[in-house]
Amino acid sequence: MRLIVHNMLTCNIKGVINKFPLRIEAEKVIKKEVDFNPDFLRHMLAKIEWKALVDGARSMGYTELPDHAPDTERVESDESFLKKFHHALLELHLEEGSLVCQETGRKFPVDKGVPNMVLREDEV
Amino acid sequence: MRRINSLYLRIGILKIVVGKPTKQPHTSLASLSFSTSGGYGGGGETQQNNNSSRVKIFDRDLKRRDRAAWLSRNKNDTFVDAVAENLLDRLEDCKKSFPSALCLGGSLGAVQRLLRGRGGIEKLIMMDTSHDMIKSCRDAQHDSVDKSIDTSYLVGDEEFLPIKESSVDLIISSLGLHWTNDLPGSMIQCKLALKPDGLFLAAILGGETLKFVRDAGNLLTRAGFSLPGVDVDEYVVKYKSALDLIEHLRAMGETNGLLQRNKASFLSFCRIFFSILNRETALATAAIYDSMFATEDGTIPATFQVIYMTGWREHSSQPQAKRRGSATVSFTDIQKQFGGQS
Repeated sequence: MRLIVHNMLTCNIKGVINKFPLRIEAEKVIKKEVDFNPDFLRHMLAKIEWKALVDGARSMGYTELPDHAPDTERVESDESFLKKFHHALLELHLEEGSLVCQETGRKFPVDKGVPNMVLREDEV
Repeated sequence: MRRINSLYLRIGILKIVVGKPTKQPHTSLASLSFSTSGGYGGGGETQQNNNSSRVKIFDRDLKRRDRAAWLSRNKNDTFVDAVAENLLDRLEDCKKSFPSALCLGGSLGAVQRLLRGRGGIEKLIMMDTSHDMIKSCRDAQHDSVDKSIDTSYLVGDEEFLPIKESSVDLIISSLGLHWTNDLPGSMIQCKLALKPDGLFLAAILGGETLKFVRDAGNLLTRAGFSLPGVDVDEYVVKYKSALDLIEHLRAMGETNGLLQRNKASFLSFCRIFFSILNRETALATAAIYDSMFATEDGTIPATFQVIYMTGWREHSSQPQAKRRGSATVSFTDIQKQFGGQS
């Protein structure tokens, strides 16, 4: 699971209010290189919850992201920032670990890079 | 009606119209129903249950296993491909592009394989309740799939969508939603996950022509979609023998929960209830079916009805109906203008 997906995942237990973001407990993180595409990254930047991304990256061992994303005008020219953003968003893979609901503590396992968000019968 | 108890809850409801799609009399065959040891209630009671609250028809574990089974047995199912192709074609009708898309389980493989860059999708999330199905899709990514689309995989349930609100431009589901226990609820969740002006595109198996189209339209409206669109296609699939038909149906595990709500239709249709376990019963049913319904060339035709649904998440740019009484021109004026007859 990469942070591009983590940034969209919520706890799906009924009644939970603080369902986003899910806290990451990383057991195994791997890095896979992906082609750098600045246009794609600029599109994504507008839609990303920045704090969730920074915290998620930190949980996976990457601390290079700034606390705040630069303004859109400055991003155009700031290739070093884009490269860090690219790395955090697309190249870090959580292979094994859990996504934890901040409110209920429920852990959603990540197995071979695939998060399992299916609730058990007793949770439904 | 014969009842057979088995380990798993399995209510399979399928309408089979033998011969030409329309104007054929419906015939009842032996129907078999199964009940679980897990306490979901006897087959008979659940079938007659016509209330509007969520009826637990599907055992979710079973649903997961069956969908995986379907995938493994029907890699090149032309019916499934035809439906996926028809659904994806609708993306070309929209001038819009959909940078991020969520694809819900059902025929995930077919959608992934047949997408071919339609819809301007840049980021794709594939979701299914079955881990096996997801792994299979991820492995298939190495073959014919478009690598320029950033694809992620997720095990999840459309009835409990783990997706942030207003986060995707497009949701696609081909032959998957009829598996859910709570179709209206699933559709509402899909709507919420969509961004304003986002599109919901789904194909589900239908059971009865006109009523179902209306039902599907109602579902879209009640889920809060704008500009709902429904249309129906029928596919006649010919099988070499009734056993092939039955095996296909079992593999597809096709069931239609919406038929539960329509008691009259339920009783008046031809239905076969299948167990994923009981091969002897399947053989016996097949023998009867063969002798009763084979055509001259010996093939068994079965008609599958597919309902295509489209709906949009509301956005101010969409055409809205004007407020009642706000018209500035009357029909009489129009008539005068164009010299129409009264």
